[in-house]
Amino acid sequence: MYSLLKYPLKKIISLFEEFGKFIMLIVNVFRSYSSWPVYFSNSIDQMIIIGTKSIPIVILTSFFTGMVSSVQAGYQMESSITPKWIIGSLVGETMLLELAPVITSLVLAGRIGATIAAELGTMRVTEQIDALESLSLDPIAYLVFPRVLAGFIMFPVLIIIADVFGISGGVFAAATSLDIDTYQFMKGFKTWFKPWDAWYGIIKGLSFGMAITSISCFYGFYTKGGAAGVGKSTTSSVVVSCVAIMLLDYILAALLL
Amino acid sequence: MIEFKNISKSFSSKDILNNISFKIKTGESVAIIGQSGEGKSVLLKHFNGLMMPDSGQVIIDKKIINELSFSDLQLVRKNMSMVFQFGALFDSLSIKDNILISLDNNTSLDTDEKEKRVIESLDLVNLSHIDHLYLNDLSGGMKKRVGISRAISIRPTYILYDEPTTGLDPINTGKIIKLMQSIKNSKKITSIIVTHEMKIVNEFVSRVIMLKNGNIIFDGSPKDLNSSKDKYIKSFILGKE
Ligand SMILES: Nc1ncnc2c1ncn2[C@@H]1O[C@H](COP(=O)(O)OP(=O)(O)OP(=O)(O)O)[C@@H](O)[C@H]1O
Ligand SMILES: [Mg+2]
Repeated sequence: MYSLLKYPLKKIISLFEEFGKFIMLIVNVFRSYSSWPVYFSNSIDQMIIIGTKSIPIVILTSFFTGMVSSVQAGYQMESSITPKWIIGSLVGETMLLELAPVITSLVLAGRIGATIAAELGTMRVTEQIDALESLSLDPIAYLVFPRVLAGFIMFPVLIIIADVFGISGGVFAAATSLDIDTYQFMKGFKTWFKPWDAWYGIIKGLSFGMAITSISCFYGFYTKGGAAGVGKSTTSSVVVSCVAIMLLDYILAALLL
Repeated sequence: MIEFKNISKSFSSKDILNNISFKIKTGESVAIIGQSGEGKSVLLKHFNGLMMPDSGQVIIDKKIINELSFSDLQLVRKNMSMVFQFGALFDSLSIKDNILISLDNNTSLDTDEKEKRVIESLDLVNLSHIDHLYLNDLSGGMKKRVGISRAISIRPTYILYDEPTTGLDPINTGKIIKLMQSIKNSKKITSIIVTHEMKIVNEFVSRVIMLKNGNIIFDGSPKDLNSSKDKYIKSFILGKE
């Protein structure tokens, strides 16, 4: 009986251990506040890597997402009696509330999560993190803080970009394949637009950004066991980030809407 | 003065260090030897708190390392540098910045003095002409030399070497030993060297500690080591079964 339960019990215990370790890492990030100003330039570098360099992929995915939702909305309403300009509000709202933040974050979980986990993981297994510590730097302030801060600042920016290009994609597809001109589309969009919806999407982006960067820093920072270990923590960071996005998405919807 | 008091360390129920105790006087040079996997690197990382013992105390200059707060530990580390077994240089930084980051954190030099110190430290390992390069452009031996240069740049009072000459050709090994010698002579430095190199044991240190199965099986002068009657020690020194 005991041996039957041993495996799942062990799994559950190690899950809690991992979570505790994660919380400790976050606590330590805040505890290192005195050295934050010193490493602020690292944050700028990270903002470029996490933010600026993600812009092309964000534009691409949001534009296509917008086009697809426009076309699908048109398809679903083909035989209904509702006026066609409603599509503008449908696409606009789903983009702002759900698609822009979630799709963008899922894509970036792959791009940024993998980069961070692989980079920190490699630094761990090649003892570069030990070396930082031996040179009396605080590796958490030096490595983790700038990345989490960059995620916190840049994700909202990326979400705004995704909003703009997602809606543009919707407008474009509506005009080319549904025969709804920009004026009609925007009329629909404005009718139901509430500024809070845009804010809500940005708040989501903010929390997803923090989740992705802190989770991948966690897996990277505590990598064990050579190149294979780096691979493992890269995979874990992407998978766990994606799950965390879904979970947070629901929690935020339940709390804020 | 460094003291290890009843240090034990294990990884997932595998005992690496088993109730180890010793003292090292200031200015002493000590070699730590033993077969691969005996825990030499693990032992060395206990000196500067990169690893913490499961039980026991590491005492450096009257401070108990494994009970210090992070910021106090960092103060101790400002006088103690480490040469890592595989270099552990920062691959996102140039060679020069690898040394600068160390100076920034451990000294209060101004910009010009730092520049000078970088050149000086790299000159000692004959690499000052390539200070702008990145790690990918270096050979293994060059990385080792940069690692040493980074460690000595802050003029520490304790220096921990993890296999400083392993993997180097005899000429570079000779150069590194000479370099270590000159560092030792120029200041009252305490050096702890993990090594397989009998040349270092015989020419550089005054004391040897040998690890086996988590215990210290020898602690004495190189002369006593060489004249030991112990079968294991003999075969280790002579490289024979
Ligand atoms: N962070 C760690 N987690 C788990 N096990 C470890 C860790 N570091 C070292 N070990 C284990 O401790 C043992 C001793 O390792 P260590 O690196 O100290 O050996 P060593 O004496 O330095 O060998 P070498 O001469 O090959 O460098 C090894 O079995 C190693 O697997
Ligand atoms: Mg070793």
